[in-house]
Amino acid sequence: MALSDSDARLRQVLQEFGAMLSRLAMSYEADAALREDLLQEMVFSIWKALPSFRAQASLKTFVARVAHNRAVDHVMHRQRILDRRASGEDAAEISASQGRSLHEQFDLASAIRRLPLTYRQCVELMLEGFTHAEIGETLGLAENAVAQRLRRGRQRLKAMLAKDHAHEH
Amino acid sequence: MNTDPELAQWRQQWQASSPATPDVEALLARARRRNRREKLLTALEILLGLVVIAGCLATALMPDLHALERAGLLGAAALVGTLAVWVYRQRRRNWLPGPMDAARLIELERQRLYTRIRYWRVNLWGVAALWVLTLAAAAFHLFHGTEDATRWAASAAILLVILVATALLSAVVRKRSERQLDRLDKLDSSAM
Repeated sequence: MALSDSDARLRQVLQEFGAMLSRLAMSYEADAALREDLLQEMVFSIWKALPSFRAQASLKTFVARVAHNRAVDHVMHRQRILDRRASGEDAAEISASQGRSLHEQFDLASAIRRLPLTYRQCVELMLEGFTHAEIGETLGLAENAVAQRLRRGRQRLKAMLAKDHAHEH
Repeated sequence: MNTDPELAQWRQQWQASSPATPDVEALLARARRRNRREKLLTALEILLGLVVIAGCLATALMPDLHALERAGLLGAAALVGTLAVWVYRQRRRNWLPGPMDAARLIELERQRLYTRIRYWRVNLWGVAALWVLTLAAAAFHLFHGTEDATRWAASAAILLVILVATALLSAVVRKRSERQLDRLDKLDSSAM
């Protein structure tokens, strides 16, 4: 039956790309509860879009494309303070663990969330291990546009991380 | 493939930030629930739309009806049909899988907001025109002392309530859309 078919397909997608989707949600939303909502929205959008998936593109880029579209929609409709370093669960998580690597992960996620959307999309996909061609396929961009955005995005990210690091000391 | 140490370090940190697969069964269960709810809502909307359209058409076909009343009822049926299609398309928009980067999505959203503002403006003028016509018909019947005058006056009163409600709603939608457009402009300028 169609329902169990789509269920099985979605289950497979979630098992394969669930962690990627969680990180993607993290790059768009700092608030843990809203992030959970965003993840659920992404999953629902993917479920609805899956019947239109044709094997010409890779499943990974298809899933990332639907999820990114949904995430941008989320940002457009919920103007939130994206960086909640001083409060919220993220900070609590860090003070509880006191670990340096967690601090670094938090810094990175927080800096990514502060990147302009067009750079953020490319940088996030790059960190997920997407090639330039795959990023282009996901976002409907030419490879040279991807390369340019990645270069600028990386520069900004580096500058933000350096600034954050200087603030800590 | 890529030997850039900075990139490799970022990648490692990023992928370690959420290494676990989320609770697949819980996500699936919620998606199923949401799907059932949306299907039910869509079915109800379609059913309600069909009932209203059928009611309007059935009344419009009654023999002793004035041409103006008939036009109003046919207009209402068309309006309900258009609204139903618009709502369906709005809902579908949420899972369109087209390849689009943030800048294009923002532009699409901006167009959608302009369309919404235009839609409500047209809606308001449409209801206002209908009210003026009904009022004119009531005045005409009153002037000629026909028994239809009360019926037309009652219709005009009901339409006035609808007109005021549409005007208020239209103002709210406009204000909200303009605020959203401002936010989009800020998002857009930060994206350059």
